[in-house]
Amino acid sequence: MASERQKKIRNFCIIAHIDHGKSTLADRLLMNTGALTEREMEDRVLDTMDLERERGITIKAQASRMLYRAKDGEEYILNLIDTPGHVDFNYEVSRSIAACEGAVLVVDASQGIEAQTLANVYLALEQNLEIVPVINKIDLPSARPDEVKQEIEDVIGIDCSDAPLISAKNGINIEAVLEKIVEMVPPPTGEKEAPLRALIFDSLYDNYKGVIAHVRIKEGSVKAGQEILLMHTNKKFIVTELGYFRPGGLIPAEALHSGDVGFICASIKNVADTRVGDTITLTDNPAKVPLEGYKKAVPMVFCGVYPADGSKYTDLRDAFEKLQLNDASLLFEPETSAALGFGFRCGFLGLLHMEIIQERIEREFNLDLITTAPSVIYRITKLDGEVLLIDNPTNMPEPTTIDKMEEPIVTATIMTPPEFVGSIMELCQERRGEYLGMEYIESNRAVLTYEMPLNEIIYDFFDALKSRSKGYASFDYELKEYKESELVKLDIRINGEIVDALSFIVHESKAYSRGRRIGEKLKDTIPRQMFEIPIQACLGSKIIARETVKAYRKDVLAKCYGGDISRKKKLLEKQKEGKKRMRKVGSVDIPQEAFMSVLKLDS
Amino acid sequence: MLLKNDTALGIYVHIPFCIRKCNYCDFPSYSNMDNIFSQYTNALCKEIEFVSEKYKNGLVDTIFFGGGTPSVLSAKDISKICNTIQKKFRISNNAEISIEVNPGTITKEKLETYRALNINRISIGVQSANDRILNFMGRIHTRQMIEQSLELIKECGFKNINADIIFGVPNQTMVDLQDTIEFVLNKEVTHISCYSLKVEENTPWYELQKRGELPQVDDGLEREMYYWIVSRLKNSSFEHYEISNFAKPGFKCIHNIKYWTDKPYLGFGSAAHSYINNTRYSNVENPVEYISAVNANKSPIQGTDIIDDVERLSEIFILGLRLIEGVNLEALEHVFGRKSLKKYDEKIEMLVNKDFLCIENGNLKLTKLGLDFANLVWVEFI
Repeated sequence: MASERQKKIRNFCIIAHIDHGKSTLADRLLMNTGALTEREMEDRVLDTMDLERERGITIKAQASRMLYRAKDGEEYILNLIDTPGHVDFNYEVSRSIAACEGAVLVVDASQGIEAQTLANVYLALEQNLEIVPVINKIDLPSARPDEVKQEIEDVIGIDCSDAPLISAKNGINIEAVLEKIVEMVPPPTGEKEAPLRALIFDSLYDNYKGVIAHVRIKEGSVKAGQEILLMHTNKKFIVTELGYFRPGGLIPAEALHSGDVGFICASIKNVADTRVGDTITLTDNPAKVPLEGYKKAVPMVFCGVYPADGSKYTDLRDAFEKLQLNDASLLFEPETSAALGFGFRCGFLGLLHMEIIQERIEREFNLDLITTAPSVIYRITKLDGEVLLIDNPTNMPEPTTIDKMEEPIVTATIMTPPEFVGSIMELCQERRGEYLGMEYIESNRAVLTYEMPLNEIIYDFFDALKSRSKGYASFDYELKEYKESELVKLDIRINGEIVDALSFIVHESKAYSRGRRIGEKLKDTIPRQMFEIPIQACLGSKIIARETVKAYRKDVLAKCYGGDISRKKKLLEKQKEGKKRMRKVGSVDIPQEAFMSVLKLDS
Repeated sequence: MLLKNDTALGIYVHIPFCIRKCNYCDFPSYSNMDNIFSQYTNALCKEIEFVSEKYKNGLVDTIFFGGGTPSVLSAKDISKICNTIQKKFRISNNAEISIEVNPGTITKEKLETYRALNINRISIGVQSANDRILNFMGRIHTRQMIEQSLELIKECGFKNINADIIFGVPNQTMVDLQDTIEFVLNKEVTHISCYSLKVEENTPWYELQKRGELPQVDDGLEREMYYWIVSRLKNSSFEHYEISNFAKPGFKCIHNIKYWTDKPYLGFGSAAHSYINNTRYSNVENPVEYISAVNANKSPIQGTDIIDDVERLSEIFILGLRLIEGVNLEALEHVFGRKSLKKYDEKIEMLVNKDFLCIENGNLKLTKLGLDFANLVWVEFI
């Protein structure tokens, strides 16, 4: 039997598309329940990273506990688990959802449902979560709440007649959301007396406490001093501290019981020991089976990451190690490039994950990076039957030794206003997409489904999609299968020498146009030097495209008098700095921008 | 080059006004400010009086009125400034006193005043002798006006005349350039400065270029022009003494050479720079701010840079290598010591091997190739 206390617990998450106001609503809920005063409330409390705040996205799941006296006079414990909104962090989302009984679905009253929202709603429905629809931004002139309600009913099939119409930004109708949570989200089930089963839905590294595991107690209880067992990694630890979350901090407690959301510290030194999705139990009375659904997050996108300043290699390694403490899904291992020197081959969950890690390294560790073109994992079967998994074009075997090559294929879902359907279909076709279907949700939104090679998506597809839909289209993808494909390795020769960092694997049909575009980009970014520099795109020994950087004839400041001296010196210093940051390939100086320019060919 | 720290000072006076700003110009110069000319003149005199207290005993052997267009000021204003300098500083008898003028701004009255003030060198902004190019540049004058101006200058008795030329201008042909050079040679000027055009940020031409609307100048043609100028002027017994400067014997610009040879100078006026006692000072750029600072009895100095010996040596290389004769390594070693010079040994060797530099009679200097790629040399010394 669930205890009286347990009956008053409501565990919920918030599902919303980027910009639809998830974090703002979370802040409002915290304020209305007094978990946070207005004065304390720095804008967007739950997103603690600068990057999250700036980009309006949640990268790491965060949790917070609040007490709410409902209209029925009872006090309820509301546990909010904030989830990342992006497909790359899907796995974290699914674990967060598994820790809840309900989900508040926030939909922008003028934008309607977006692809990622839908994907997360389906995840929540799969876990039998109660969906609490909320229509946000109703105070905007463009709001069309009735149509959006209808859209939710049509697409998701849940009743929206009662959905609170709110403005999180201006604090309109927040109380109604809290009431709906109490009313609709069921209290947690689970026996307090059963053997402990606690789901890890996130973990965080703290310099003093070690790993802080974020858990949802499904069954049983746990308190400090007890020995715990992590059922999948099979590691044992003594609990040093546990408790609840408050905004931006922790509240220690005696024990955690079934239904609770909280944290457990146990002097765990390695985040990888507390994999998201693992089950914690007690060694003296262990659960027989772990909670289901544990799987390791698998990187899908790979690229080389190098310090722009070669001497910063160890700094970069330190940065990766620090980030990995909080992000077990980040993979990195040393690699060497003839053009770029020492760096790392890194695996990411997806494109956004890759971008975020790069940005965090540049900001938090103040390192300039050069990254190579992203790659997926190709499956190569050689004539002798050996199967290779290749995530770096440099490691591709000789074409003559290859029997077949396979590439990962995803199912892509794109939501868009109908006027962009034409150009988006064109884009998908260009990217070797196979049309699966199209549906209209209401008259003003279409859902396109395509089967697409992942390697076409990781290559600036998202930017292209946004520019072709004026930013309106949203997009989600899911790995489907590996498929045999005509793939070739395209090399770029600069002044006759292959630049390994610019090689990539591409579909045969795309090799020519891609090679030509890269040649053009490089021609624009490689500065003229004292000799002519040929740039060639090659398949093996066959040259398929060529550009030339003409030799320059002069580089001299014609004028320098008293008032010019400081300024001219600055110019020379800049020139020297620029030269230092160039990579020498053979006798050619290649600037960092040249390596980066080939990553965005559509723009 | 002389390294002996003789005390003769150069004085630079900045006149930041023009009738119209040219399309390529990024100098600290302003048009349509006639209404502040006299205030500016007064502020200048006040600054000169104030600063001179500090350098009372200094002997001045060069004065240079630069701009902008100093000749836009009235004869009265120039007299005021010049008299203040001569009253407040010791000026050597044979001092070189230059003023920059532009065709269309000089009158007989102004030139006669200059003469009376002992101004003995006129630098005239010719830029081109081709009306089509002058117009495209946004110059206010024509070829004919240049001719009239030069006649007037000579009529007034000036013997030391410089002509400023710009080459490598969009749409300029080799023939256009050759015609301009022959034109100034015919006028028997004693000094020619030939500047290769650089399209600078914050100019109308830069904006044009960004939009792809400025015709590109082929740098092969630009170099051909430069080589032609160098050989043509040598044939007329001009000495090529600095990257962009040519002079008949005895007519090198002593004031400008100070900039390249580590000599002290004082700058007055907005945007002017001084270099004295191992320090470089810069005044505020905006003339209005300059006037109000001076009127409020505040120093118009905005930036102060201490040039220590390491930086000074680096500057001596960078600036000294602008001179065709280069820098004398022994003299440098004598002043700075072997140890300080040692760190440049490898670089010098590398640049000599690449044929950017050569050593002649103990002087390190740019080669012909080095003259084309001097930036690549200087970055090694920065």
